[in-house]
Amino acid sequence: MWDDIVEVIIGNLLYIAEEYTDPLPLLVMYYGLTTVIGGLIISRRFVTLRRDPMAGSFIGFGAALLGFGIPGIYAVHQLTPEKALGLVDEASTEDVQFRFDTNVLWGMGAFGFLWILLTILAANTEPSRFLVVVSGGVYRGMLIFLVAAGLSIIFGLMDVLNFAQGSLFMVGAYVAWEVYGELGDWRETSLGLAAAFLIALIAATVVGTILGLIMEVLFIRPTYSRPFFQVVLTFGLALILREYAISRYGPAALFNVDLRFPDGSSTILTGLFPGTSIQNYWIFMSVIGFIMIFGVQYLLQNTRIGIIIRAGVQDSDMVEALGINVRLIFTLVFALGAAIAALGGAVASGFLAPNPDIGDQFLLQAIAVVIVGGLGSYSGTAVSSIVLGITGAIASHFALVEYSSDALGSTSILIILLIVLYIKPTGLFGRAH
Amino acid sequence: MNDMLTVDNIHTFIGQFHILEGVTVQVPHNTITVMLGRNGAGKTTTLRSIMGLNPIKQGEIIFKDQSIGRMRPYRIADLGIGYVPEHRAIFRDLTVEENLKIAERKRGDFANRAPFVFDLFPDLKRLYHLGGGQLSGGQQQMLTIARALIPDNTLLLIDEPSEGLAPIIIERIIEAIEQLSKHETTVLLVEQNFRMASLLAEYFVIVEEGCSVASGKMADLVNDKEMIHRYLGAA
Repeated sequence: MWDDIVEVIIGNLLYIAEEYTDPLPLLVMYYGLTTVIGGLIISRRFVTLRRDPMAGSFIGFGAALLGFGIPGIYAVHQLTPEKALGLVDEASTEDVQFRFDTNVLWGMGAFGFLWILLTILAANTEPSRFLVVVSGGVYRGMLIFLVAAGLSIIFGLMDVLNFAQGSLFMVGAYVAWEVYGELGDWRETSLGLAAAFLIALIAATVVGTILGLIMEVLFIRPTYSRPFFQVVLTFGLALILREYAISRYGPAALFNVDLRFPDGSSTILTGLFPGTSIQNYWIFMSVIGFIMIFGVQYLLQNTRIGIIIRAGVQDSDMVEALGINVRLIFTLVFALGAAIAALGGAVASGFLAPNPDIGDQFLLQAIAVVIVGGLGSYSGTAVSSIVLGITGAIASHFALVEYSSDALGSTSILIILLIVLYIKPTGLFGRAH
Repeated sequence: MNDMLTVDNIHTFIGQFHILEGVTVQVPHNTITVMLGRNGAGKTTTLRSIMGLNPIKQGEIIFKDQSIGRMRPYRIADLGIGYVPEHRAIFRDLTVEENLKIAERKRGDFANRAPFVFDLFPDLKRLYHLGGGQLSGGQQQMLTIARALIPDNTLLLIDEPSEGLAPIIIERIIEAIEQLSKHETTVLLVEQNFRMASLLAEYFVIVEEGCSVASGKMADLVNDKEMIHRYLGAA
């Protein structure tokens, strides 16, 4: 089997080298290389001082993409000299050995791996199909992320593996579906339809938050000293929510939230970009995902509660001894995780038909993403969600072409999980304790 | 009542293990009291019990005429008790700045106390934007003490500040703690380094296998070779 895989990879690389007249694979390869190298160069500045591998990875990625590779990297590098960032004064450079955070190497390695896959994909598909697969991968990664974000922060801070995170995603999907259905009359106008959808998203998020609060206060809080009970408990809660959904909506999938006008014509939400409406919705989901990634990152890095959460991930006893009510923070974080998952479900409901298993199909992948990213590392979760989402989409694409089945999509994520656990058991951005 | 803190015959369990079996400590106002004893005697657990991190089963803890034995740790800290844990337990993923700011109990604490803290530990000002994990051991120790000084604490519980540090750094820490007690801060210190303890402390308590077995003035202990030998080994 390994011979076959090696043969395929080498064959592809040879094919790319021969087909140099086709610009797409070359372009992808060029961006891949510049991203990895540029990410390393730029992230060094952020990581040495701020210990924030994600900012470095993303800025390297963005600089390569927007600035057409090497010139973009060079520009960002020039714009962010260490002193201009205000992070170092001359005296402290004596105290600190500037060194790479090895975690960034792993993060860049993940991006590098992704770019190899993208190059192979680019060499084997039409450019239009390439875009479909990649944007499909990004949206898939974002939905995984929306489940995984709560999982990751909650696990990092409280050591609770919340198996009900997928169920909150499902609840969000059903609530959005129901609220949107209730507001059927509004859908006559473009503005009304957008408002109805927005209200559906907000309602789902609010219900998720409340459900998260109730779960933490009633069930999780009494069992912090008994981790095994918690695992069983959250699993039980997941089953109860699933059964409730079946009793209320039936075991079959509903129709997804339809963002077209009642007569079936496109709306501002479906017609934002040229092309098919499905892809536009993928882009919409991806945008929401990116907003959440950077919103939560901002919360963690720049607000007092974020500082408390990051400190609590390391040592919650000490945070409490500073006079901070850690249990209250636990409750808020649990609710925040629940809210993000419910929002994810609501956003997904515009594309995926709500069904009792809609959350669980993402839960397993979300757990894999959290472990691959490194337990307790929010940055790792964000980066690996995107990388694994796109990897899954590429694997699905090839499996569809070769075997007419897309089962390989989610399996590939688990295969990567196994490989990462074998090479670096703490995950990409994880630290050994 | 002249004592700021009275720990009266406390018993603490960790899991099913009976760690403290009757510890009594008295910490008078504006003094430095040192807790001595061998490794595993229960000194750290006593500090953690005062902080509420290892809740007591029996006994009583009185801080400024108020019983704190059954309070949650954050409420105890709110009364003005600062905890400096052993092993230089700063937050490694936070910058020096964030490590100090997280200790604010009300808005403006940091701004008010920063001049005093940076006067005490000038190094920290220089290292302000670095990650806690990038500091040396001595710098981390200074940061744990500085962190406890940001809010308005009248009592500091300091656990083994000299552990694993070079002699020159230990001198700096000694100076800093001396400075603190001049600024009307009361200190309960756990220290294995007998020289450091004798330089700083006015009163002592010896803890042996979870019980407090002796207490008194440090000046008397320094001359009592027999007691030093019995409870602390060769010193």
